[in-house]
Amino acid sequence: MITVKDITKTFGENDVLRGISAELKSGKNNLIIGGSGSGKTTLLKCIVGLHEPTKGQVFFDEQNFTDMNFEQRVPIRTHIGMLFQNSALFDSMNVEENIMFPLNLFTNMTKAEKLDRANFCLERVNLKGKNKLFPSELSGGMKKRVGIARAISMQPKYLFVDEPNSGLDPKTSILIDELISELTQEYNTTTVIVTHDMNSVMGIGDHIIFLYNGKKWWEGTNKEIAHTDNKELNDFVFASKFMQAAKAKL
Amino acid sequence: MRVTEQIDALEIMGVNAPGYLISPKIIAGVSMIPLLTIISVVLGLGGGYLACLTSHDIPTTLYLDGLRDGFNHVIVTVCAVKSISFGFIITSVCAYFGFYTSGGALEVGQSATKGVVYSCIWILFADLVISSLLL
Ligand SMILES: Nc1ncnc2c1ncn2[C@@H]1O[C@H](COP(=O)(O)OP(=O)(O)OP(=O)(O)O)[C@@H](O)[C@H]1O
Ligand SMILES: [Mg+2]
Repeated sequence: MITVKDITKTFGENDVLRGISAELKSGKNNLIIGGSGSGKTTLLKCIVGLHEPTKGQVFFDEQNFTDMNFEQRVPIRTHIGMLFQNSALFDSMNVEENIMFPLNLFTNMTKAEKLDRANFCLERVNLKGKNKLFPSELSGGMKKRVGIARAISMQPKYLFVDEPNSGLDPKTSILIDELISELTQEYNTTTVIVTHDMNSVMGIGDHIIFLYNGKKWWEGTNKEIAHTDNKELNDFVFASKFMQAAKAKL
Repeated sequence: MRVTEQIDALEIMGVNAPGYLISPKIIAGVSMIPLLTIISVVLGLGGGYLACLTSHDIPTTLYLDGLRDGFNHVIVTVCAVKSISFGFIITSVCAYFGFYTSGGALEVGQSATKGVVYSCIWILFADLVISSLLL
Protein backbone atom coordinates (compact mmCIF):
# COMPACT_ATOMS: atom_id res chain seq x y z
CA MET A 1 0.00 0.00 0.00
CA ILE A 2 1.15 3.53 -0.75
CA THR A 3 -0.02 6.45 1.32
CA VAL A 4 0.22 9.96 -0.03
CA LYS A 5 -0.07 12.72 2.56
CA ASP A 6 -0.82 16.29 1.62
CA ILE A 7 1.44 16.41 -1.45
CA THR A 8 2.06 19.88 -2.81
CA LYS A 9 4.24 20.61 -5.83
CA THR A 10 5.09 24.01 -7.17
CA PHE A 11 7.16 24.78 -10.28
CA GLY A 12 8.18 28.43 -9.93
CA GLU A 13 4.86 30.28 -9.75
CA ASN A 14 2.86 27.33 -10.98
CA ASP A 15 1.04 25.45 -8.18
CA VAL A 16 0.54 22.13 -9.93
CA LEU A 17 -0.50 20.00 -6.95
CA ARG A 18 -2.19 21.58 -3.95
CA GLY A 19 -2.39 19.23 -1.02
CA ILE A 20 -3.27 15.78 -2.33
CA SER A 21 -3.80 12.90 0.09
CA ALA A 22 -4.76 9.38 -0.92
CA GLU A 23 -4.38 5.73 -0.07
CA LEU A 24 -3.35 3.50 -2.95
CA LYS A 25 -4.19 -0.06 -1.97
CA SER A 26 -2.39 -3.20 -3.05
CA GLY A 27 -4.14 -5.66 -5.33
CA LYS A 28 -6.19 -2.83 -6.79
CA ASN A 29 -5.95 -0.78 -9.97
CA ASN A 30 -5.60 2.77 -8.70
CA LEU A 31 -6.38 5.17 -11.55
CA ILE A 32 -5.41 8.82 -11.65
CA ILE A 33 -7.49 10.73 -14.16
CA GLY A 34 -7.78 14.39 -15.06
CA GLY A 35 -7.45 16.81 -17.94
CA SER A 36 -4.23 17.40 -19.82
CA GLY A 37 -1.86 19.45 -17.68
CA SER A 38 -3.80 18.71 -14.49
CA GLY A 39 -0.68 17.26 -12.84
CA LYS A 40 -1.18 13.50 -13.18
CA THR A 41 2.38 12.81 -14.33
CA THR A 42 3.69 15.25 -11.73
CA LEU A 43 1.84 13.39 -8.97
CA LEU A 44 3.19 10.07 -10.21
CA LYS A 45 6.75 11.46 -10.29
CA CYS A 46 6.34 12.90 -6.78
CA ILE A 47 5.25 9.47 -5.53
CA VAL A 48 8.24 7.64 -7.02
CA GLY A 49 10.68 10.39 -6.01
CA LEU A 50 11.62 11.72 -9.45
CA HIS A 51 10.25 15.09 -8.30
CA GLU A 52 10.76 16.11 -4.69
CA PRO A 53 7.39 17.34 -3.42
CA THR A 54 7.38 20.95 -2.19
CA LYS A 55 5.41 19.75 0.83
CA GLY A 56 3.94 16.47 2.03
CA GLN A 57 5.07 12.88 2.31
CA VAL A 58 4.81 9.54 0.58
CA PHE A 59 4.82 6.24 2.46
CA PHE A 60 5.55 2.89 0.86
CA ASP A 61 4.04 0.31 3.25
CA GLU A 62 4.52 2.60 6.27
CA GLN A 63 8.09 3.57 5.29
CA ASN A 64 8.54 7.29 4.83
CA PHE A 65 9.97 7.43 1.30
CA THR A 66 10.16 11.23 1.07
CA ASP A 67 12.60 11.60 3.98
CA MET A 68 14.96 8.88 2.72
CA ASN A 69 18.22 9.65 0.89
CA PHE A 70 19.22 8.04 -2.41
CA GLU A 71 20.86 4.94 -0.86
CA GLN A 72 17.98 4.30 1.53
CA ARG A 73 15.55 4.44 -1.39
CA VAL A 74 17.36 1.82 -3.47
CA PRO A 75 15.84 -1.26 -1.71
CA ILE A 76 12.34 0.12 -2.30
CA ARG A 77 13.18 1.08 -5.86
CA THR A 78 14.10 -2.49 -6.72
CA HIS A 79 10.40 -3.24 -6.12
CA ILE A 80 9.18 -0.44 -8.36
CA GLY A 81 8.33 -0.90 -12.02
CA MET A 82 7.47 2.13 -14.07
CA LEU A 83 6.23 2.83 -17.55
CA PHE A 84 6.90 6.42 -18.63
CA GLN A 85 4.55 8.50 -20.76
CA ASN A 86 7.12 8.42 -23.59
CA SER A 87 8.23 4.84 -22.83
CA ALA A 88 11.83 5.96 -22.03
CA LEU A 89 13.46 2.89 -23.56
CA PHE A 90 17.27 2.99 -23.60
CA ASP A 91 17.91 3.66 -27.26
CA SER A 92 21.39 2.16 -27.32
CA MET A 93 19.95 -1.25 -26.33
CA ASN A 94 17.68 -3.60 -28.20
CA VAL A 95 14.32 -4.78 -26.87
CA GLU A 96 15.72 -7.81 -25.10
CA GLU A 97 18.57 -5.85 -23.46
CA ASN A 98 16.12 -3.20 -22.29
CA ILE A 99 13.99 -5.80 -20.54
CA MET A 100 17.01 -7.58 -19.07
CA PHE A 101 18.56 -4.34 -17.79
CA PRO A 102 16.91 -4.39 -14.33
CA LEU A 103 17.55 -8.14 -14.09
CA ASN A 104 21.26 -7.56 -14.75
CA LEU A 105 21.35 -4.97 -12.00
CA PHE A 106 19.45 -6.64 -9.22
CA THR A 107 19.36 -10.41 -9.69
CA ASN A 108 21.88 -13.26 -9.80
CA MET A 109 20.01 -15.01 -12.60
CA THR A 110 22.03 -16.76 -15.27
CA LYS A 111 21.98 -15.42 -18.82
CA ALA A 112 19.57 -18.17 -19.89
CA GLU A 113 17.18 -17.45 -17.02
CA LYS A 114 17.19 -13.74 -17.82
CA LEU A 115 16.49 -14.51 -21.47
CA ASP A 116 13.60 -16.75 -20.47
CA ARG A 117 12.16 -14.01 -18.30
CA ALA A 118 12.54 -11.45 -21.10
CA ASN A 119 10.81 -13.77 -23.56
CA PHE A 120 8.02 -14.43 -21.08
CA CYS A 121 7.45 -10.68 -20.56
CA LEU A 122 7.52 -10.06 -24.31
CA GLU A 123 4.98 -12.78 -24.88
CA ARG A 124 2.66 -11.23 -22.31
CA VAL A 125 2.66 -7.93 -24.19
CA ASN A 126 2.17 -9.67 -27.55
CA LEU A 127 5.64 -8.94 -28.89
CA LYS A 128 7.06 -12.41 -29.17
CA GLY A 129 10.16 -12.62 -31.37
CA LYS A 130 10.86 -8.86 -31.46
CA ASN A 131 13.91 -9.34 -29.19
CA LYS A 132 16.55 -7.92 -31.47
CA LEU A 133 14.82 -4.75 -32.65
CA PHE A 134 16.06 -1.37 -31.42
CA PRO A 135 13.68 1.28 -30.04
CA SER A 136 14.13 3.36 -33.21
CA GLU A 137 12.70 0.43 -35.18
CA LEU A 138 9.51 0.22 -33.10
CA SER A 139 6.17 1.98 -33.47
CA GLY A 140 4.89 4.15 -30.61
CA GLY A 141 2.52 1.45 -29.39
CA MET A 142 5.24 -1.21 -29.55
CA LYS A 143 7.53 1.02 -27.48
CA LYS A 144 4.79 1.32 -24.87
CA ARG A 145 4.47 -2.45 -24.73
CA VAL A 146 8.23 -2.96 -24.42
CA GLY A 147 8.13 -0.34 -21.65
CA ILE A 148 5.48 -2.40 -19.87
CA ALA A 149 7.52 -5.57 -20.36
CA ARG A 150 10.54 -3.85 -18.80
CA ALA A 151 8.42 -2.53 -15.92
CA ILE A 152 7.10 -6.00 -15.06
CA SER A 153 10.35 -7.91 -15.60
CA MET A 154 11.27 -7.77 -11.91
CA GLN A 155 7.73 -8.68 -10.75
CA PRO A 156 7.42 -5.35 -8.99
CA LYS A 157 5.45 -4.82 -5.79
CA TYR A 158 4.59 -1.33 -6.96
CA LEU A 159 3.73 -0.73 -10.57
CA PHE A 160 3.38 2.78 -12.00
CA VAL A 161 2.12 3.26 -15.52
CA ASP A 162 1.75 6.61 -17.24
CA GLU A 163 -0.82 6.39 -20.01
CA PRO A 164 -0.37 2.76 -21.02
CA ASN A 165 -3.00 3.01 -23.75
CA SER A 166 -2.03 6.15 -25.59
CA GLY A 167 -0.99 5.23 -29.11
CA LEU A 168 -2.48 1.75 -28.97
CA ASP A 169 -5.35 0.40 -31.03
CA PRO A 170 -8.53 -0.42 -29.07
CA LYS A 171 -7.88 -4.17 -29.09
CA THR A 172 -4.27 -3.98 -27.88
CA SER A 173 -5.36 -1.32 -25.45
CA ILE A 174 -7.84 -3.66 -23.80
CA LEU A 175 -5.23 -6.41 -23.83
CA ILE A 176 -2.79 -4.17 -21.96
CA ASP A 177 -5.48 -3.17 -19.44
CA GLU A 178 -6.27 -6.81 -18.84
CA LEU A 179 -2.59 -7.66 -18.49
CA ILE A 180 -2.03 -4.92 -15.91
CA SER A 181 -5.18 -5.89 -14.05
CA GLU A 182 -4.18 -9.58 -14.07
CA LEU A 183 -0.69 -8.84 -12.76
CA THR A 184 -2.14 -6.62 -10.07
CA GLN A 185 -4.33 -9.41 -8.77
CA GLU A 186 -1.87 -12.23 -9.34
CA TYR A 187 1.00 -10.64 -7.41
CA ASN A 188 -1.05 -8.33 -5.17
CA THR A 189 0.72 -5.37 -6.77
CA THR A 190 0.00 -1.78 -5.82
CA THR A 191 -0.73 -0.46 -9.28
CA VAL A 192 -1.07 3.22 -10.10
CA ILE A 193 -2.28 4.03 -13.60
CA VAL A 194 -2.44 7.50 -15.10
CA THR A 195 -4.91 7.52 -17.94
CA HIS A 196 -7.23 9.49 -20.21
CA ASP A 197 -8.80 6.39 -21.61
CA MET A 198 -12.46 5.99 -20.64
CA ASN A 199 -12.45 2.31 -21.59
CA SER A 200 -9.78 1.76 -18.93
CA VAL A 201 -11.66 3.86 -16.40
CA MET A 202 -14.82 1.82 -16.89
CA GLY A 203 -13.05 -1.50 -17.39
CA ILE A 204 -10.46 -1.68 -14.63
CA GLY A 205 -11.06 1.34 -12.38
CA ASP A 206 -11.15 -0.25 -8.92
CA HIS A 207 -10.18 3.03 -7.33
CA ILE A 208 -10.26 6.27 -9.26
CA ILE A 209 -8.84 9.63 -8.27
CA PHE A 210 -9.90 12.63 -10.32
CA LEU A 211 -7.52 15.59 -10.27
CA TYR A 212 -8.86 19.04 -10.93
CA ASN A 213 -7.33 22.41 -10.15
CA GLY A 214 -4.40 20.75 -8.40
CA LYS A 215 -6.70 19.01 -5.92
CA LYS A 216 -8.24 15.60 -5.47
CA TRP A 217 -11.67 16.56 -6.74
CA TRP A 218 -13.38 13.19 -6.60
CA GLU A 219 -12.56 9.66 -5.51
CA GLY A 220 -14.49 6.45 -6.06
CA THR A 221 -14.91 3.33 -8.19
CA ASN A 222 -15.94 2.78 -11.80
CA LYS A 223 -19.41 1.77 -10.58
CA GLU A 224 -19.83 5.06 -8.78
CA ILE A 225 -18.47 7.25 -11.55
CA ALA A 226 -21.53 6.75 -13.77
CA HIS A 227 -23.88 8.04 -11.08
CA THR A 228 -21.87 10.91 -9.71
CA ASP A 229 -23.31 14.40 -9.64
CA ASN A 230 -19.88 16.04 -9.52
CA LYS A 231 -20.09 18.55 -12.36
CA GLU A 232 -16.39 18.77 -13.27
CA LEU A 233 -16.04 14.99 -13.29
CA ASN A 234 -19.14 14.59 -15.43
CA ASP A 235 -17.84 17.19 -17.87
CA PHE A 236 -14.55 15.31 -18.06
CA VAL A 237 -15.80 11.72 -18.32
CA PHE A 238 -18.89 12.29 -20.38
CA ALA A 239 -17.46 14.92 -22.69
CA SER A 240 -18.38 13.10 -25.90
CA LYS A 241 -21.90 12.58 -27.26
CA PHE A 242 -21.20 8.87 -27.38
CA MET A 243 -20.38 8.72 -23.67
CA GLN A 244 -23.45 10.82 -22.84
CA ALA A 245 -25.64 8.37 -24.74
CA ALA A 246 -23.95 5.47 -22.96
CA LYS A 247 -24.58 7.14 -19.61
CA ALA A 248 -28.24 7.65 -20.41
CA LYS A 249 -28.61 3.91 -20.96
CA LEU A 250 -26.95 3.06 -17.61
CA MET B 1 18.74 10.96 -22.52
CA ARG B 2 17.37 13.47 -20.01
CA VAL B 3 14.85 14.80 -22.51
CA THR B 4 13.51 11.35 -23.38
CA GLU B 5 13.20 10.42 -19.66
CA GLN B 6 15.89 7.72 -19.98
CA ILE B 7 17.78 9.21 -17.03
CA ASP B 8 14.57 9.15 -14.98
CA ALA B 9 14.17 5.50 -15.96
CA LEU B 10 17.67 4.77 -14.64
CA GLU B 11 17.00 6.61 -11.41
CA ILE B 12 13.73 4.83 -10.83
CA MET B 13 15.61 1.53 -11.01
CA GLY B 14 17.90 2.76 -8.24
CA VAL B 15 20.88 3.34 -10.53
CA ASN B 16 23.16 6.23 -9.59
CA ALA B 17 22.68 7.90 -12.96
CA PRO B 18 25.58 10.42 -12.88
CA GLY B 19 28.04 7.70 -11.89
CA TYR B 20 26.63 5.23 -14.39
CA LEU B 21 26.59 7.64 -17.32
CA ILE B 22 29.40 10.10 -16.69
CA SER B 23 32.22 8.06 -15.15
CA PRO B 24 32.78 5.77 -18.19
CA LYS B 25 33.08 8.87 -20.38
CA ILE B 26 35.64 10.47 -18.07
CA ILE B 27 37.65 7.24 -17.82
CA ALA B 28 37.56 6.95 -21.61
CA GLY B 29 38.67 10.58 -22.07
CA VAL B 30 41.45 10.44 -19.50
CA SER B 31 42.87 7.21 -20.92
CA MET B 32 42.27 7.63 -24.65
CA ILE B 33 43.27 11.27 -25.23
CA PRO B 34 46.83 10.57 -23.92
CA LEU B 35 46.92 7.49 -26.15
CA LEU B 36 45.86 9.60 -29.14
CA THR B 37 48.55 12.11 -28.19
CA ILE B 38 51.21 9.38 -28.15
CA ILE B 39 50.04 8.15 -31.55
CA SER B 40 50.11 11.66 -32.98
CA VAL B 41 53.63 12.29 -31.60
CA VAL B 42 54.89 8.99 -33.07
CA LEU B 43 53.25 9.73 -36.43
CA GLY B 44 54.69 13.26 -36.46
CA LEU B 45 58.24 12.12 -35.76
CA GLY B 46 57.89 9.14 -38.12
CA GLY B 47 56.54 11.45 -40.83
CA GLY B 48 59.58 13.70 -40.45
CA TYR B 49 61.89 10.71 -40.81
CA LEU B 50 60.01 9.55 -43.92
CA ALA B 51 60.22 13.02 -45.46
CA CYS B 52 63.98 13.06 -44.92
CA LEU B 53 64.26 9.60 -46.40
CA THR B 54 62.32 10.40 -49.57
CA SER B 55 63.40 13.99 -50.24
CA HIS B 56 67.15 13.51 -49.51
CA ASP B 57 67.34 17.20 -48.47
CA ILE B 58 68.40 16.29 -44.95
CA PRO B 59 70.25 13.03 -44.19
CA THR B 60 68.27 10.80 -41.83
CA THR B 61 71.23 10.53 -39.42
CA LEU B 62 71.18 14.31 -39.05
CA TYR B 63 67.44 14.22 -38.41
CA LEU B 64 67.84 11.59 -35.67
CA ASP B 65 70.75 13.49 -34.11
CA GLY B 66 68.65 16.62 -34.16
CA LEU B 67 65.84 14.79 -32.36
CA ARG B 68 68.21 13.55 -29.65
CA ASP B 69 69.99 16.87 -29.14
CA GLY B 70 66.80 18.88 -28.94
CA PHE B 71 65.13 16.45 -26.54
CA ASN B 72 63.98 17.92 -23.28
CA HIS B 73 62.25 15.53 -20.86
CA VAL B 74 60.03 18.33 -19.50
CA ILE B 75 58.23 18.40 -22.83
CA VAL B 76 57.13 14.80 -22.33
CA THR B 77 55.82 15.63 -18.85
CA VAL B 78 53.93 18.66 -20.16
CA CYS B 79 52.53 16.58 -23.00
CA ALA B 80 51.30 13.91 -20.59
CA VAL B 81 49.82 16.35 -18.06
CA LYS B 82 48.09 18.37 -20.75
CA SER B 83 46.61 15.42 -22.57
CA ILE B 84 45.22 13.94 -19.35
CA SER B 85 43.79 17.27 -18.19
CA PHE B 86 42.30 18.10 -21.58
CA GLY B 87 40.76 14.62 -21.77
CA PHE B 88 39.16 15.21 -18.38
CA ILE B 89 37.91 18.68 -19.30
CA ILE B 90 36.40 17.67 -22.65
CA THR B 91 34.48 14.72 -21.22
CA SER B 92 33.39 16.18 -17.89
CA VAL B 93 32.26 19.56 -19.22
CA CYS B 94 30.32 18.03 -22.12
CA ALA B 95 28.80 15.30 -19.92
CA TYR B 96 27.73 17.93 -17.39
CA PHE B 97 25.85 19.96 -19.99
CA GLY B 98 24.34 16.82 -21.49
CA PHE B 99 23.22 15.46 -18.14
CA TYR B 100 21.41 18.61 -17.07
CA THR B 101 19.72 19.41 -20.37
CA SER B 102 15.98 19.79 -20.03
CA GLY B 103 13.30 20.61 -22.53
CA GLY B 104 13.42 19.32 -26.10
CA ALA B 105 15.42 19.15 -29.30
CA LEU B 106 16.24 22.88 -29.18
CA GLU B 107 17.79 22.64 -25.72
CA VAL B 108 19.80 19.55 -26.76
CA GLY B 109 21.39 21.60 -29.57
CA GLN B 110 22.05 24.51 -27.21
CA SER B 111 23.67 22.18 -24.68
CA ALA B 112 25.92 20.67 -27.34
CA THR B 113 27.09 24.18 -28.34
CA LYS B 114 27.62 25.14 -24.71
CA GLY B 115 29.59 21.94 -24.12
CA VAL B 116 31.98 22.74 -26.99
CA VAL B 117 32.36 26.43 -26.11
CA TYR B 118 32.92 25.87 -22.39
CA SER B 119 35.38 23.01 -22.92
CA CYS B 120 37.37 25.20 -25.36
CA ILE B 121 37.52 28.00 -22.79
CA TRP B 122 38.53 25.63 -20.00
CA ILE B 123 41.20 24.06 -22.23
CA LEU B 124 42.71 27.49 -23.02
CA PHE B 125 42.72 28.31 -19.31
CA ALA B 126 44.23 24.93 -18.33
CA ASP B 127 46.81 25.31 -21.09
CA LEU B 128 47.91 28.63 -19.61
CA VAL B 129 48.07 27.29 -16.05
CA ILE B 130 49.93 24.07 -16.92
CA SER B 131 52.42 25.83 -19.21
CA SER B 132 53.21 28.52 -16.67
CA LEU B 133 53.62 25.96 -13.90
CA LEU B 134 55.74 23.40 -15.75
CA LEU B 135 57.69 25.32 -18.37
N1 LIG C 1 9.68 19.81 -14.92
C1 LIG C 1 8.73 20.75 -14.94
N2 LIG C 1 9.05 22.05 -14.81
C2 LIG C 1 8.10 23.02 -14.82
N3 LIG C 1 6.78 22.78 -14.97
C3 LIG C 1 6.39 21.51 -15.11
C4 LIG C 1 7.34 20.42 -15.11
N4 LIG C 1 6.67 19.26 -15.28
C5 LIG C 1 5.38 19.60 -15.37
N5 LIG C 1 5.19 20.94 -15.28
C6 LIG C 1 3.92 21.66 -15.33
O1 LIG C 1 3.02 20.99 -14.49
C7 LIG C 1 1.72 20.94 -15.05
C8 LIG C 1 1.21 19.52 -15.04
O2 LIG C 1 2.01 18.71 -15.90
P1 LIG C 1 1.85 17.15 -16.01
O3 LIG C 1 2.87 16.65 -16.94
O4 LIG C 1 1.82 16.58 -14.65
O5 LIG C 1 0.40 17.04 -16.65
P2 LIG C 1 -0.44 15.75 -17.00
O6 LIG C 1 -1.67 15.78 -16.17
O7 LIG C 1 0.42 14.53 -16.92
O8 LIG C 1 -0.83 16.05 -18.51
P3 LIG C 1 -0.93 15.03 -19.78
O9 LIG C 1 -2.21 14.32 -19.63
O10 LIG C 1 -0.96 15.98 -20.94
O11 LIG C 1 0.26 14.14 -19.76
C9 LIG C 1 1.82 21.56 -16.42
O12 LIG C 1 1.28 22.86 -16.34
C10 LIG C 1 3.30 21.62 -16.72
O13 LIG C 1 3.59 22.78 -17.43
MG1 LIG D 1 1.24 13.20 -18.26
